[in-house]
Amino acid sequence: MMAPREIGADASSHTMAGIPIWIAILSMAFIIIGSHFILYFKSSKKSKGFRLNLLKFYPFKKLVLNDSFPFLIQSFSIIVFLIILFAGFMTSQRHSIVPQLTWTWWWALLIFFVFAFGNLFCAMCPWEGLTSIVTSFSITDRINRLGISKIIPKKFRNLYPALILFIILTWVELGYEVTSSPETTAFMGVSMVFCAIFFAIIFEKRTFCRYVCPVGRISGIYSVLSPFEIRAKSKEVCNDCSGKECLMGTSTQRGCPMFLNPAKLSSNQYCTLCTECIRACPEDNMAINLRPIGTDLKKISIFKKDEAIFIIVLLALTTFHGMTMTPQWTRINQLLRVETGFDKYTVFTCLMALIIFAQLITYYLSAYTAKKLMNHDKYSTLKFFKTYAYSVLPLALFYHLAHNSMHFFMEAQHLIPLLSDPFSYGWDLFGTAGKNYSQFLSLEVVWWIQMSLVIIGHMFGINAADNIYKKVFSHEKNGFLSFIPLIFVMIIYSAISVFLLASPMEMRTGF
Amino acid sequence: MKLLLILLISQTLLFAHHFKGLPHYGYFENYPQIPQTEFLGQDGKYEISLVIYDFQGINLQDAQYPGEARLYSVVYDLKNNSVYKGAAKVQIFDGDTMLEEKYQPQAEEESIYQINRKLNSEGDYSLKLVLVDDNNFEVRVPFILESQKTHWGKWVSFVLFLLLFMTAIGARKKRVTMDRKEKLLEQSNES
Repeated sequence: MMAPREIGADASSHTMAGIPIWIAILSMAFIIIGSHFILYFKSSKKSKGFRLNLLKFYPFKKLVLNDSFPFLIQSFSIIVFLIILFAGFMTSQRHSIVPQLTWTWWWALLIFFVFAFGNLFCAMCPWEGLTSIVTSFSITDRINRLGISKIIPKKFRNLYPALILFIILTWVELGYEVTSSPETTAFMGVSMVFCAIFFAIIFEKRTFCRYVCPVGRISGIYSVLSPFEIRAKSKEVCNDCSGKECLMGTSTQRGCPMFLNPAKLSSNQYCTLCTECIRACPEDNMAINLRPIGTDLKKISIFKKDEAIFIIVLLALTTFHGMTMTPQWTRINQLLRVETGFDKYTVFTCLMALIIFAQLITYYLSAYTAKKLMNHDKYSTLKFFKTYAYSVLPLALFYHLAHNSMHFFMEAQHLIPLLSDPFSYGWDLFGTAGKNYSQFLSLEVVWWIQMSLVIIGHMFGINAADNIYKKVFSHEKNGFLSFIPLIFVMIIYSAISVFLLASPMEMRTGF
Repeated sequence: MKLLLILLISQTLLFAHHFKGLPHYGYFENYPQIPQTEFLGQDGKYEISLVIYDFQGINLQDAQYPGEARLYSVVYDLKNNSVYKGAAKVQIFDGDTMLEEKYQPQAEEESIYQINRKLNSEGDYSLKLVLVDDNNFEVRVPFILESQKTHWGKWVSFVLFLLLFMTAIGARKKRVTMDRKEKLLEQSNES
């Protein structure tokens, strides 16, 4: 095993090695060869994929059908959330569990959670849990007794509100460095709860979750790849159903809070796995299925502009996270500040905007080239832009996982001593207070995990692009040509991911 | 369970080093283990990073110099991507009055310039570094003590709570009226 290399110890920065160059080259070779391999040798057989209905296990079904089930799964996260609020507002700002618990555990693990369990975090969401309790005056039935159920204007029924909030969240996280402030972190949590409750009071159902919450929408868009889904068991039973209780609710069940018709659900994106439809369905026709990963990507047939932009910006911001930790980023920042005289926030904001637009423009150019190559008046550039965006989604998810792997496996152990004294009262509940623990995995193992994730993400992306091309453009003359710029751009995106993982990570420790 | 045990007993000597005046373990943390407020000041090509330890959150009886604020600063040369390590005068000001001055012929370990001083909660403080080896170039950074900070988060949260409470009362009243109207409509339809 190689020891972590330390570079530039005599410079202003404290820099740690990224993955070795030979692993990076090997990964790029895999990415390029793998892309060809998938395209040439991919089976053209269409399979529906397996489904395992978890509700066939009676104890689990009994649990889900219990009216208290949502509160039961939300109670743990509500407790943790209240601990964060108390620690953030009422206890020491210097020795605090809040940054570790929020940013290293919850924020980093959220993406792993989405990958493994889909939108389950939304089902466990403490903000939604508290909103339901406040608006229903109950912890079980969740019928809104407070709201005036206004309909949100049509122009806001898209992902742009969530996208804007996500950009602000990233700016606050990286630019304003909220991650080191327990109080501001707690305040952000409170703000989310207030927004959720406010929206639930004014607007119908869960307008906040559906259109505004950035956490829910990131989880949602990634969960199209997840191995869990809630679907109707039989379409015929749904067609014969006149009550539509799964959508409309009953006097005791609220029905789908996300404006979805569970009977016709074909994508996980807006389903929060809240299981309300399961309890509301009088025909016992809903199932929680285990399924192959990425199933929704194969079936996707409606391509929306807001979702496409959300995906590209999601990839841009995830990449941006990695970029801000490279020495090159620090250097550019420093030089711009000296040369322009602007402060660090202005320079940071400009560079962040630049990276978001650069990613959008690069992708738009690939769509434009696709249109030119295909040379068909029937399709606009926007059509290619919207259609192929979903093939970029696996790249974003798997790079996100790779990036968060470093954070989690290298930093998460610091929670162990804090758990013994979460409020800085001098406690030592588990005998771990004041001790230091080594990282969960060695750096070398994390390197291999990261590279494997980037390669898998690229392969998934190519596969998704191929499916989309076959579904939408393959019947057209020169249809295959529309696919080429996208493959090229995807290789560039993956190369950037590899470059970022191979770049040293920087800490300004004043050596 | 085994994994948990391994994790719990794997206390090892880590890469201990210092981060702006306090021990720091592991090189990879992007989030400081000991959250602190960092004050930044920029003048020309130099940037001062100032971290203050004024015993907030620490039992004063355990402190070596209770009541003193310790100021740790690092001077970055942004243009040349290096740290200034030469001679410097470190000065604490309250408004225009200099309270304390210390001359350091060179930076301490880890390029730090350090100064201690008892400071009360009323001052209008700033730290000035005179970089002797660079033609006495002066860089200044204003700062406040922990005791001077307003922890606005909980107060804003409280105001938000009040606003929400009032909105909720209004919404409940409207909801009751809406439900009553709906019920009346249903009854009239039935009859």
